[in-house]
Amino acid sequence: MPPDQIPQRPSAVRTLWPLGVALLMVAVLSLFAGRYPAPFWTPPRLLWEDDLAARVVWSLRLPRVMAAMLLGMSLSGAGIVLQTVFRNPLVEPGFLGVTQGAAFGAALAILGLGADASPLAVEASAMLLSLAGLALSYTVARRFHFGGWVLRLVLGGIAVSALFSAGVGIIKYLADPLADLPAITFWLLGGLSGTTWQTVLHLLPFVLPGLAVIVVMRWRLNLLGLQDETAFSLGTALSRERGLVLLGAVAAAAAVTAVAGIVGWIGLMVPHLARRAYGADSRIAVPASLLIGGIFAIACDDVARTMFAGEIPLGIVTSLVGAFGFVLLMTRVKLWVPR
Amino acid sequence: MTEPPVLSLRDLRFGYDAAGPNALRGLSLDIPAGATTVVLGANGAGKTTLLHVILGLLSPQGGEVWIAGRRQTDRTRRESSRLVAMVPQNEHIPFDLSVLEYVLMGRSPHIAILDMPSQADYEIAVESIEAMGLQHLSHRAVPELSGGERQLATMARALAQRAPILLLDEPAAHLDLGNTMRLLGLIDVLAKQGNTVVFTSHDPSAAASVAHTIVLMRDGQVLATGPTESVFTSEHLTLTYGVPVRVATVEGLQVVLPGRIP
Repeated sequence: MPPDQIPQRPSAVRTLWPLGVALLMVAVLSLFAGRYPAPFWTPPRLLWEDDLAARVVWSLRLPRVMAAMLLGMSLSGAGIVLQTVFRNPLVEPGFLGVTQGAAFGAALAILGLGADASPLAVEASAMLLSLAGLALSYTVARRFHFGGWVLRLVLGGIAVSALFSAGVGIIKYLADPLADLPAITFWLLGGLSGTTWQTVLHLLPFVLPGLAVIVVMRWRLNLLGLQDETAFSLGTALSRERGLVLLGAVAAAAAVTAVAGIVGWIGLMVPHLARRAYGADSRIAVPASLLIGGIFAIACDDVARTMFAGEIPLGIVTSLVGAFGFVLLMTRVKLWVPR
Repeated sequence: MTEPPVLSLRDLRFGYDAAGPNALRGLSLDIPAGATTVVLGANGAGKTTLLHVILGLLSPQGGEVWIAGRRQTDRTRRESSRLVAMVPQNEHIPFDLSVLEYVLMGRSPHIAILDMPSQADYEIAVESIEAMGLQHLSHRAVPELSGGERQLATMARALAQRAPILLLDEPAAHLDLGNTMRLLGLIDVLAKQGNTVVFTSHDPSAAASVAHTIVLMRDGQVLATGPTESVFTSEHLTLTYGVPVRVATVEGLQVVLPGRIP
C-alpha cells in the first residue's frame, strides 16, 4: 500500500467536536429551562434584572446541570468499561453490587435517621455501602472455585446484589409507611432534586479521577476486552490493568448513585449508541459515550424538573425516554451502517 | 545446527485441578531457533497446555521454561510479549472492531501503557494485513468475517507483534485448502527469515510439509522428537494416535494414510 493510503490515526477531537458543542449547548440552554418565573423558560435577561432568577440559575440550576452531566458521564463511562472488560454487551454499571449496595445504604440511613435525615448522611451511607458492595463482590468472586475470572466476578456481583436487594426489601417492610417508606421509595426511583454546589463537590473527588483513568487508558481498554490468552500474550498485566479501569469506572458510578439514587438505562444504552455511531474502537467510543451520556442525562433531568410542578423522579424519565428512544433509534432510523 | 535451542523446557509438570500434574507429566524438550517445529498429538495430549505454559499464561507446578537464554519468569510480561507471540485456537471478539483496529492491537508490546498507536504502528499493521492477503477486508468488522478470514486476521495480529517466536495453536483449523497452503507458505517464509515457529496441528501431512522438527505428544509427555525425516514414521504416528496409520511418500511429500476403521 503506498504511504499516502496508510489509514490516518483517528482523533477523538476531530471526530467528536460536534458532540462536545452539543453538550455545551444543551448545558447552557438547560440553565434557562425551569419553572421560574413561569413554566419552561427563564428569559436570559432576567439574570441582570431579577435577583431571584440569578440566584436560581447560579445556585440551583448550574450545580444541578453539572451534577446531571457528571451522572450521565459516570454511568455511561462505567457502562462501556464494564461491557468491554466483561466482553458482554448486556452488562451495566450496577453489575458489581454497586447499585444495590448504594440502595441498601440509603435505605438504612433513612430508616435509622428518619425521613428528614440530612442528604449528606444518606449520601455517605450509600457511598460506603456501594463501595462495600464492590469489595464484597470481588472477595466472593475470589473465593469461588468455579469458572473463569469474568464468570466469577459476574456471579459474585449477582449474589451480592441479591443480598443487598433482600436487605432493601426488609428495610421497606420495617419502615414507617407514612414517613420513611415514601422517602426510601423516592430515593430508589432516582433523582437530583436538592442538588447544591456541595453535591457537586462531593462528586468530583470520585468522578474526576475515575473518568480520567478511563479516558487515558481508552486504547488499552480494547486490549482488556480480548480473551485472556490473547491479552496476556500482548503483554498486558491482566488483573492489575482490568482492576484499575474497573475501580475507576465503579468509583465514579458509585459516587453518582449515592447522590442521585438508582438511575437506570444510561449505563446500558449509551455505550451501544456510541459504538453504533462511532465504531467499537474505544479510542473514540469511550469519549463518545461520555459526551452522549452527559447530553442525555442533562436533557432527561430538564424534563424531570420542568415538565410538572412537582418533580418527576429522574430514573423514571431515563427509563421511559431511554427505552422508547433506544428502540426507535435501533429499528427505525437509518443513521448507521446496518450490521 | 550448533545454535543453542531458543526454547528449552525442563521437566514441566502441570495439572488443571487438585488431582495433580496430569496435563503435562515431566515434559522436557528443546526447540531449535529459526526453524519450524510442529507439535502433533491426539485430542487431550496436552498440546495447548504446552503452548500456554511456554507463553507463561499457565505457571508450571514443576520444571522450568527457558526462552532465549533466560528463565521465562525472569522477564517482565512486556519483555516476554516482544519475544513470544501467540495465535489462539479460536479467537472470539464480542464487539465490531475492524480488522485494522484489531491487528493494531498486536503493536501493544511496543506502545507505552498510557500511549496510543503511532503512524509507524499503523504502517506495520497494514504490512501484516497485506502479508495475510486481507487488505480488501481492512475496514470490515472482525465478527462479520468467515471463520477462515478471522483466523488469518488473528495471524496478522500476531505478525504485527514482530516477535521472533510465534506459537500457533492449530492455525489451519478453520482454513480451506487454499488458505492452508498459503498459511504454511507464510510459516515457511517466517522461519527462513530467522523466526522460530511452533505450531500444533491435527493435520500431520500438512504439518510435515513445512516442519523441520516434529514433536509427538501423548498423555502430557513427549513420545518422540527430532528432525521430520526420522520421527515422521508409521510406528511413531500409530503410537501417537492409538490407531493404525501408515506414512506413504507421494511425489516426495510424506502423507499419512489412516488404517482401516476399527
